[in-house]
Amino acid sequence: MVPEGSVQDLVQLDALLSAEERAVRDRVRAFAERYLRPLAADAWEREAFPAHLLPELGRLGIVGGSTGHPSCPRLTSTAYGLAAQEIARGDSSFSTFFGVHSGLAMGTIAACGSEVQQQRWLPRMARCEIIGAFALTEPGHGSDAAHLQTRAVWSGAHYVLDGCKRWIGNGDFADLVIVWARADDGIAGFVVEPPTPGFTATRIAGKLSKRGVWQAEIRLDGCRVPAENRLPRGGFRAVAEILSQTRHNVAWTAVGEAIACYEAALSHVQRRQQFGKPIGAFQLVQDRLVEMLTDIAHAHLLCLQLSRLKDAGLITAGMTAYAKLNNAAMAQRVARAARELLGGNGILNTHDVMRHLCDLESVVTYEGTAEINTLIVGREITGVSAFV
Amino acid sequence: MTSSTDFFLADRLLTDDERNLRDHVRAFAEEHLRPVARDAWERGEFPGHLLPRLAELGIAGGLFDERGRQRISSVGFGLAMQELARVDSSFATFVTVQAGLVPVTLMTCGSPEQRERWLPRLARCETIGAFALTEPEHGSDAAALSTTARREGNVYILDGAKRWIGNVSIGHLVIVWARAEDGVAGFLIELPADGLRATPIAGKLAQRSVPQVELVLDGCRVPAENRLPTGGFRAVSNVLAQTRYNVAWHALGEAIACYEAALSYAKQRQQFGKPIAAFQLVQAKLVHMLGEITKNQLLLVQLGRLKDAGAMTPGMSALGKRSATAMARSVAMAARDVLGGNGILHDFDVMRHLCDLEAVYTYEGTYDINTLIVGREITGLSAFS
Repeated sequence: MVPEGSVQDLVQLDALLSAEERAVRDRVRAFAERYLRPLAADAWEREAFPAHLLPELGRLGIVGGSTGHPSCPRLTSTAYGLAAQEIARGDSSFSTFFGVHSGLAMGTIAACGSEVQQQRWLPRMARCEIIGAFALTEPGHGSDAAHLQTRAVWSGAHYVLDGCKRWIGNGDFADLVIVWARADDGIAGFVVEPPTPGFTATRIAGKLSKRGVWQAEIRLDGCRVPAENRLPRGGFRAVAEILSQTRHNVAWTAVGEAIACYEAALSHVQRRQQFGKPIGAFQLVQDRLVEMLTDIAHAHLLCLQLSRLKDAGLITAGMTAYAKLNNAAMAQRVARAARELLGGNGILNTHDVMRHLCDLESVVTYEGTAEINTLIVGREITGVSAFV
Repeated sequence: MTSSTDFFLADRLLTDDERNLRDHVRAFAEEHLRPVARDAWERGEFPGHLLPRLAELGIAGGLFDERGRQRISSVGFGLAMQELARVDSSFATFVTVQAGLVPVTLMTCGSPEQRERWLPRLARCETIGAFALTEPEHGSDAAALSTTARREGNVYILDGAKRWIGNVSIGHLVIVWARAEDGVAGFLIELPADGLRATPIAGKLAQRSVPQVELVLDGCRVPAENRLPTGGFRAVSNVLAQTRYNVAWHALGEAIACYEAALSYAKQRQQFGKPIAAFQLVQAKLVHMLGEITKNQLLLVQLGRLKDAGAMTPGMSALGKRSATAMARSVAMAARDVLGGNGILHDFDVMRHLCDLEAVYTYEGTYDINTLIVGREITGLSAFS
């Protein structure tokens, strides 16, 4: 029997981590095993978000861990990535909640907000007392978010926002929603604090992926935002930088989901007997396991190097795009192979793998589809943009 | 096949009867199945009210009538499966059992009396049939099944457990495969039966609207005349070789649905000021999808012709099932990708097909088992165990 943690052990990843990084990983893993995994199947089936876990999450010392703000935990990028990995390993839906709140929303306030704004929101967000959302995508502008249509007009006393946003994680229950809109002087982020007149959020129904996290369609209809809620740093370049940061986290979450699938498959093939022996003794099965583990090892080392480069200030947009692109596709392959190894029982929610398989369809698409990330890398290596 | 997916004009390879049957089934699927498919999936409910209409289509009893005359060509039946699966994979799986596994078993293993009794009722959907081979501990190695049938005078007493058995909870007749003293044999059990207990399998994330159960047989008494005269695991393999052919068409239908959804979305969805179908990476995906569909269409038409000519080997149907289900899985993934974030919703049906295909990929022989069936045929060496 292969011991727990075997995935890391194959390439001795543990030896590359600091004691603090290992401690963060183990702490988050314990949280995920204790609170997330037991709830995940049921939350998914009932489309329920486990909001009662937020205080506990706030106490883990990871929320806002990539912002660098004094009020937030200070984690290395690797430690933060490992935390994201462990949450995703337990529950992909909850990991999206975490990515939106801690990465996109807090990350934006840290990167684009004034000191006053940071002090106003980040400490309470780090404790999960208030929850954030990030509204960039629009119904007609997903991959070409740079062409967003939502407008912000200065009335002399406040900004007036009009437009429509879609697929906004946490959008229908967040305490603050960062809305990206086109002002007279360029694209800027506006912190909307619902409930407020002119802001309506409708939860998106009928999802077959990440059912345990809520996304909303948001309508802004003459929604007034005070001047002090405009983030001073704007422009699409700022948005692209935030996404480049959060893609780093998504790359780690994909590893977490792949590990969950690999572990489920490995433990199943060691127990399941067919033709008089464990199916793990068959060549075709071992071939798949080795492929899966190789894929995971590659992705892990990629993430680790990416995080070290990030902390050294050497990361490029192409690097994070590549890691997200590679790891999401890797996790998709691993989930499919694991589902296959579980046989017919693999379509049941109780075995977790089919749920990860469905959830990964979102991971492959959000924060830049495979095509968009390919073109970000393509632009960086050729010097020529092929988006349009 | 449809105009947008029939790239190599495979329509020309069909007879008028086959085209008519396909169009007829397609009309049924579009008119009656499509409006209920999503909701049935979400709620995990079988649309039983459609059974009289299914009976009217003339496919529910399989290819042969009770006198052994072939009423429908294999290609015609394959096209019917394709059209059902194109709209609702769960319902198509119901038909795979009702019109595939059950009648094929009766034709392959049953007596003339058994055929005369059951085939007409199956065809009219008065009798809903089920086929119980898989056991909790014997999926791929079904040949090692441990359900037993002990003869006592004029009855057999069946004991054991079966799993993943479709249609039982809405069914009237279940063919249970068990180990008798003289070998593996099929037994016709009319439902409800004493000593037979069915528990629905809950928590499925694929084909949610077709019900499957776990069966427990506990001293279930079956009259000796309900034993199918032709038995042995070779008979079971023979049945599965025929029905795998149907599953291959099923997968093709789902791939077509996914490709059509992706193509139509790519032509409508504007990003960067033009339809995404105008981008090179999207065209590469669409061409990959259509190419895969085209190859499998031609494979399955050829397979159907060989089947009716009595020239189809188990390796051929295993290769067809393996090829078409793997193809459909990759097409569904590509289609889901082209649909972007919206692709995870029920709205475009692709995500439902993507989930459902996981079941199709596994049942009636996993990818690996079908690989080994082909492998044995081409090498002469068995590598199963």
